[in-house]
Amino acid sequence: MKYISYLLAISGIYFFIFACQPAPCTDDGCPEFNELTQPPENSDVGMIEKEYSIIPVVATDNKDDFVYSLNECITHLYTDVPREKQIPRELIIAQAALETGWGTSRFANEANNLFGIRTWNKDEPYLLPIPWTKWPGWGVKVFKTKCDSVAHYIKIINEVFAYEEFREVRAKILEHGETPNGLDLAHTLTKYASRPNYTDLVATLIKYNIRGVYEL
Amino acid sequence: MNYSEELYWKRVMTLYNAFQDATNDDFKRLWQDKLHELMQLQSKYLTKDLNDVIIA
Repeated sequence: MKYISYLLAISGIYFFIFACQPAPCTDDGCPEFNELTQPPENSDVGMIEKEYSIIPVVATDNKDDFVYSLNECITHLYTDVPREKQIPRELIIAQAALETGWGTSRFANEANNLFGIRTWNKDEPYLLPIPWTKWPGWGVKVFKTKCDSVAHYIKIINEVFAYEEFREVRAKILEHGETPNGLDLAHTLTKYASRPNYTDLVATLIKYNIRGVYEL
Repeated sequence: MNYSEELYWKRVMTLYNAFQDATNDDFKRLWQDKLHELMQLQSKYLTKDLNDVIIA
């Protein structure tokens, strides 16, 4: 009887320790990771589920997923952006593809920044290009999500002085009752990057790698 | 191969395919530069176990 009680006590301790161990990772990922990426099943956290549904995740696994998920993010953002302030989808996608190498860059994945947007405020979260270690007066702004960087990009194009020509051309096209497209507006973005042929690259990308390839 | 390694190689393939498919010299150079940058991050994304890298 004494031995049986010892045996029960030892097996109880063993099961207690085993239950406290984190579950192992499988091919489907680690349990901790799944908890972070999937909404909880409890119904009393409706707000969290709503948040999951309202912020589209921009995927960077491959080119197709990148384009289509970025397009979903734009659709989500455009529910709150009036037509006259919208930027052609193909232009946004082409610029993001150029800046990040179809979503593969370090800034895209570690800073959630799809457009190389800078910050001049050292107190904001930022990343520096490799191999820089000291603050050179600016950094690449870190966003909470990739879709947040798209929202910020739309705001910049619609508000910053450097893109006034873009806004004027867009307004003229809209006045004629037409819908502005990426090729109409690409050449106005000369101040977006220091690369001299930047706008040609954007236009070429739209023409040969987005149009006729992806249904946006 | 863990999740981050798999993702890393998918991104490498995305850029490699873009580089291969590019007919324009500017784009070839652009994707090649981006690929080079990504390859420099290899040690950050891959495990220290050499066998894992070989299997990948």
